[in-house]
Amino acid sequence: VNRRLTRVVLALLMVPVVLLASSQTAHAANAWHQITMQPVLPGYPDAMKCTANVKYADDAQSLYFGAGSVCQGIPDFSPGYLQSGEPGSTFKIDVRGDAGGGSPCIGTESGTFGAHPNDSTMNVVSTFGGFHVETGPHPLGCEVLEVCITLDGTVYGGDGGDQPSLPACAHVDLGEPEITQGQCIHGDVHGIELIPNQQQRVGSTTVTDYWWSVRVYLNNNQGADGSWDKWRVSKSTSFSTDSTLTGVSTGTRTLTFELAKTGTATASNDAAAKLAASKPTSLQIYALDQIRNTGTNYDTSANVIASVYPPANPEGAYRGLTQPPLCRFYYGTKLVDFPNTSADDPGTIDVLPPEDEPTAEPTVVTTNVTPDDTGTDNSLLSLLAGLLRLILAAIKAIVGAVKALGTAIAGIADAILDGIKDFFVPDNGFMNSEYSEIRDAWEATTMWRYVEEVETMTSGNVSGCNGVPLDLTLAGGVEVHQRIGAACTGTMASVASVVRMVISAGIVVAGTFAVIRIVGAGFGWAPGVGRGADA
Amino acid sequence: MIVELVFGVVVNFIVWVIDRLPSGSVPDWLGEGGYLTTVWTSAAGLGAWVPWTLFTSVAVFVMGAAALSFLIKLGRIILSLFTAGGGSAA
Repeated sequence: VNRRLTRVVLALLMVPVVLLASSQTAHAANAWHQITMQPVLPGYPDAMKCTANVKYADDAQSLYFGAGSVCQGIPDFSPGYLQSGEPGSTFKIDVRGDAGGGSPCIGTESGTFGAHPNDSTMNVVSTFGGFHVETGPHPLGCEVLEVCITLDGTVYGGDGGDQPSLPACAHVDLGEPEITQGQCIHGDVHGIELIPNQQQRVGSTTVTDYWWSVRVYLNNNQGADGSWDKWRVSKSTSFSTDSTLTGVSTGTRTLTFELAKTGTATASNDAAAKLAASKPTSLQIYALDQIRNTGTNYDTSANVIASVYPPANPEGAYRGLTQPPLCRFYYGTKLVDFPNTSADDPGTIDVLPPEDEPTAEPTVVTTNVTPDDTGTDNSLLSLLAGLLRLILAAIKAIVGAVKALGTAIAGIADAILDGIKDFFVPDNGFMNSEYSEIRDAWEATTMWRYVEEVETMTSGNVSGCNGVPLDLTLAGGVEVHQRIGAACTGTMASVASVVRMVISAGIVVAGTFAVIRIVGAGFGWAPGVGRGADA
Repeated sequence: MIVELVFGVVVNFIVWVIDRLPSGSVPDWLGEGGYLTTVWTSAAGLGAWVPWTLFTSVAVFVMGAAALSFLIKLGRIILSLFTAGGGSAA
């Protein structure tokens, strides 16, 4: 029983591992990868290392190099003055891969190294990247197998002698590219139609001259009259304008273009505004095919290029439409193949700023660089890394659940506290109301009226110095009018001032003693202060 | 809620006690033009000798102390009820 239970447990444990491994394979195609290329300098095999972040484009037909790519080394030492890889020097990137079925796909891009703050006299550190390398027009994309960097420059001195270039290649395993067909389609775009256009002939009358014309229009049904306004798509490469090619009569041709909302109006002047405010509904490609010169005039019969979206053959599908980072796509198979010219090749597109490019640059080492084991099988490491990610995800889920539980508990606690608060804390104004009720009852009593009368009586000026009036009529009609204690001026005023001072002191002292005794009595304390011998 | 209930009971009791007090008018000798007012007016002429303002202030202060003492003693009496017979405000 224990053995069987152990098998079941092990099998269950393998489930997430298998799922993780499979999901990693499925989603790792267009993710960023870090590759290392180590140019072999004559006499200094470990003197230079270039690290780059790369990823497939969404159409899987170009390879992006992140802006944080770095080359580093120690070429500036005697006697080998190796002037390669310095900021400002040039380089070339070659990408080789498999376009499917054994068909090769290649791409080349040149650039100039940028400055790096760690660059010094004894250490060369430079940056590169921020570009892409087109790897071929095959609709299924190019599975990159090898990336090479060639440092242009001169090595002089030491054993190396002059060296015009320093190539270094790295075998990479980026996995199969993931082609995101139609990811950038927004709105109600229903398809692409290739509609035969009129054939036109160039001015020449020779049968070997052919004039190719392609127009791309973005249809917008938001016009005022409900009709479709046609717009020419901007930045149409290879066929942005009419092209004249000679010597070719059959074959396929590649069309690469970029859609933009700022096209040239063909229907009305305000169409650009309407287009900006609306969604594209369809894309139409008007193309000429095999303009044949009949010798007397151009042939106006059209050859139909039939391809309606969604196509039965996904290889003919577009890659994108309206989203700028994705709207550079390759369409279908070549109409004509020109082996001796690059006019049929996809045009150069702008560098796409990768949205999820790693912000941190590769670690720059300023000491000797040692070769790494690039190219070794890292499937076990990937599996362990995936398992670690699974564990981290599980921990995150647990933490999230705990947080949610804590939030719920906090909500309950808040509700309880609010209930307790409502239970004990009276409403605003309640205390004032109760106080007013007591005051009104008190002011209705005789005692309050006594107090009120005394307050009124004593609120007047009581600091007079005129004395107490004495008005008497004695026997015999003798009237006496005196003011006893009048002390406004003279000696009597001085005497009264002294007496007043003494009385004031006595009142203060007596009042203080009285307050102490009275308040003390409230606490059950009977101090003897102010009681003379009784104290 | 519970505080309002307790305060309501206490306030109603206090108002009930206050309502038991007499609510008649003041006697004539205390009212305006009465004897006490005459005496007070006469005494006010002795302000050069007696600091009436200080006197009344101290008197009010002493009466306030008496009221405070009464409240303190009342509080002690109430608290003594919760000491299981062990306390006394006497």
